[in-house]
Amino acid sequence: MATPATIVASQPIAPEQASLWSDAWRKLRRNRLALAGAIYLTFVVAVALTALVYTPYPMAKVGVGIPYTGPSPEHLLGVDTIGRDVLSRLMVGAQVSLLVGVGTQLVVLAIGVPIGLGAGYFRGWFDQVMTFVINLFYGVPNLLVALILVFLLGPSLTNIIVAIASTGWMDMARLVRGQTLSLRERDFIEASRASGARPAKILFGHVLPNALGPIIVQATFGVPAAILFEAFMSFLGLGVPPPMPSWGSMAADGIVAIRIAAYMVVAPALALSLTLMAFNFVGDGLRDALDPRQRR
Amino acid sequence: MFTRGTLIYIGQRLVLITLAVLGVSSLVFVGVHRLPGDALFSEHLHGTQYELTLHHYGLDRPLWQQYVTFLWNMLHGDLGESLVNRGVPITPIVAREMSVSAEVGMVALIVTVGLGMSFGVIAALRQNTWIDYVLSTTSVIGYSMPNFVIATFLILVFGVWLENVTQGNFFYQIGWPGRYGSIGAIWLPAFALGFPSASIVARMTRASMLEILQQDFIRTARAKGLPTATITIRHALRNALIPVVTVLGPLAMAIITGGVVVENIFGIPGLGKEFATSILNRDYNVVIGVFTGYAALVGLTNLGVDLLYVVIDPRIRY
Amino acid sequence: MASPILQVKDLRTEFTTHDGVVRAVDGVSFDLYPGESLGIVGESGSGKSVTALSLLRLVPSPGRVVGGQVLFHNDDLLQLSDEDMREIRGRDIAMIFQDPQSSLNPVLRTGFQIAEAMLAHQRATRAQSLRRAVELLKRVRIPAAESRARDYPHQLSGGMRQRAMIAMGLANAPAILIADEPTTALDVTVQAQILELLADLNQELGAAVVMITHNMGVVAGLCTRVIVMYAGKIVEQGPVEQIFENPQHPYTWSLLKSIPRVDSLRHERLRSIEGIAPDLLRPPRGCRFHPRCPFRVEKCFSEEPSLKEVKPDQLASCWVTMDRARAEMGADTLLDIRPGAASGVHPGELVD
Repeated sequence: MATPATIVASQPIAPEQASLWSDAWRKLRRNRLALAGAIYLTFVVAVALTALVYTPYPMAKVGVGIPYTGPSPEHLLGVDTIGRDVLSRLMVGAQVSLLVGVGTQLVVLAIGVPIGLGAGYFRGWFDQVMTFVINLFYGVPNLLVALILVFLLGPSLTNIIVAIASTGWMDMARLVRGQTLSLRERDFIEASRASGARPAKILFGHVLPNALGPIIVQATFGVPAAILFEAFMSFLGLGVPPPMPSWGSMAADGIVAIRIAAYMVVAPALALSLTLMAFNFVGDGLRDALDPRQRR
Repeated sequence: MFTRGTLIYIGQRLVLITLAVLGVSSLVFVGVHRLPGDALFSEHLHGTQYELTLHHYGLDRPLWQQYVTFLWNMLHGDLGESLVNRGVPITPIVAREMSVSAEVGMVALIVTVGLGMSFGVIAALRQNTWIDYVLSTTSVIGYSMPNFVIATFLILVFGVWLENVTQGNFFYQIGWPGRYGSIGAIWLPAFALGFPSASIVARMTRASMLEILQQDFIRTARAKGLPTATITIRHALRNALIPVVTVLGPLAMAIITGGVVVENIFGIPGLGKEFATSILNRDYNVVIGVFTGYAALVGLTNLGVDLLYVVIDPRIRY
Repeated sequence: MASPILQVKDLRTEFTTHDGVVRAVDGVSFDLYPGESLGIVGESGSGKSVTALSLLRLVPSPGRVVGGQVLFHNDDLLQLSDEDMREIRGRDIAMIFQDPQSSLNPVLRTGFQIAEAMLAHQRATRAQSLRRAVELLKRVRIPAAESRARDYPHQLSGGMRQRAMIAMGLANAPAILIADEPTTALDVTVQAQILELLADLNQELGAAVVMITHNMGVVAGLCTRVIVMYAGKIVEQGPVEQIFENPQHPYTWSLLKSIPRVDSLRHERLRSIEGIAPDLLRPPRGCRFHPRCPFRVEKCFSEEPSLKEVKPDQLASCWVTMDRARAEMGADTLLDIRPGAASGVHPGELVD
């Protein structure tokens, strides 16, 4: 009766501990749409980089071909209304889109994240003021604000980035604020506070890493939103100044000729739509991958 | 449902909206006055005539005086006079264009919610079948395409290729009773405006329906022996509406924003078109008016959405 | 004895998962007599809830009922068409669930949700159904029933919500009411009230009640017969008093022993059953309980016992039974209840 029981060997006790990031990476790799999107985006980046050193024709040179000519072996995507090569302009347009897209999000992150962290963590008057300012910005359609800003500051790539970012930072700030508000009640933050850590360290060392997931997703979705925004603005004539081509302005130029030379609109419109779609797929994939509620 | 608390809430919001409108107009007022060259300037007026005109508009007074007059007029609903079209008061124009933009926007919103939710529900009920894949892919394409691309495409299809059918008819005339009958007057612009939003709604509805159908109260409904259709519509859909209503605010904003572009493409005489025209003509008074109109439109739309929330979800009360 | 209104024969329900097939209900058979209250007891994962869901064909995917019969008035429910099954649900056999908060639709009024049960089955008008819903609410002892009927679920307390659910279940005067852990999500005091209500309703309405729970105390208070489930199988069944007094299956015995008693001596340790519930993907060979059983013998490791009548009206599936454990292994004075402790049989010493 006092014999100790011999334990039959059994399987390992717990499944291997996977961190959120490696887990997410696994899930992301399995998402075919996201993968397709990522591949396409790499392609776009490659095109944009190539355009730095090579385009079939100089993108601003007028008269390299007969205007209104459709696609041909010399001009793979045809020639536009004043004789410029559409393909070359499309390639440079990729640069513009990427710069605007990523650039605005960097600015949005730089502004929105600290504000959100501060408002969510310190509360008090800072939070009140910030919330008020945020709501103020929401009062007017963002397109108009951006348009007016560009109008005031003059059209240039930097101004456009600033204008778009200044209408988009509120969403990031609100997101970060919300995340901070819920994270600050968690025990590990209390523990940090109790051990005397300074607010900056808590915010950047503890809160921020935990909020990183939604922030990344938001920024990833922000890129196509910004690109779309710029396209809108270009379409209305307040985008990047000529001769820099933007897919939006190319579409606007091409609309007048839609009956006889549809390719002038189709090419940039397609480029825009595909790029936006690709970003959205990747964003979706990231969001699903980083969602802690989904198992597997 | 419209309790005393709600009415008080509405009152408070209206006050806030008024303040916001005043705030926005003031900002635009100041901003605009720092811009070089206005409509008057570009008309190349000289000498006495120029001074007379300036005086007529009160532009020769110090800025702060102008601002006070401006505020005072605003509170009386007077948005001043157009710089380009002498003697034409702006307020009625803005009011009319607001209603136009609002109308097109409303139709777009109905398209958004109606089409979007239908697609979403169908996709959820037929999860993982080809219908689901088609609808889901269409949604992603839908919200990835800029609305001016969709608008252009629609014009291409209906205006160019199908010209014999539609007779290239794209006129939107205010108060024209037939405008809902002609495809180009409201339906096409509303569709171009609403389709991206509809796609977002479709995706949300699908995800939310799928989640709801896993909920316990659906199991209860089945245990009661309710027919599937009743469960889907009365039990599931009502709950799926809630997250949709939460994004209705931003969606409405997107539609208002998108209207700026779409109105210009389709030639609809709304605020968006006025915006483009007035900027082009440097008619700054009208610009201020347009911004004011938009601020009011946005404020009222957001209020409407918040009230809708109360109607849909009985757990919300102000 | 009257003939049973429900006869479950060899019910089998499986869940097809990524990692394999889980046999959640693996050959369950029992009878239900009119007006009686039957308890189904077991720990989480024993298959008790899935059994109940299987009766009404409400098992969520990836689960499916794969075998057996459920005879209700001589119709096999498992063979009925979807439409016929739908008519039985809520009308002849009703089921109420564990968490009334999540089991009621938050956007519909409470009274309406009860009326709905009637509208779906009877030819009553909407107005009539709503009136009857208020009557039902009174029946389940909810004060101010008229205004409560117009309230939404979130406006009611937990106890009231559960009463409303009971009202919903009884709306069409079903022959059988299945209650899946109706008190688990409630406060202790409210639990007692709900159980009392169910007992009274069982008497008044003559509906048979199937009470699913993991709490032996609930069974003791409410049920006349009990079924004990473990790992998807029935391990013991019989009249409540008999089983409580003289459980024959070691699992039942352990369950009863683990209830802390007010009159126990202070130095007695709280006992719990060693080990965790078995993995239903790869159930243990032989008797499913043997890895945790203090009284196991060699046979338990290799051969699975079947339900046999070990006392009048009492069935258990065990090679040893508690009578023998008491006689030969000193079960009554056992201090160490670890697996194999009483019988001294351990895996390493098996000669296979």
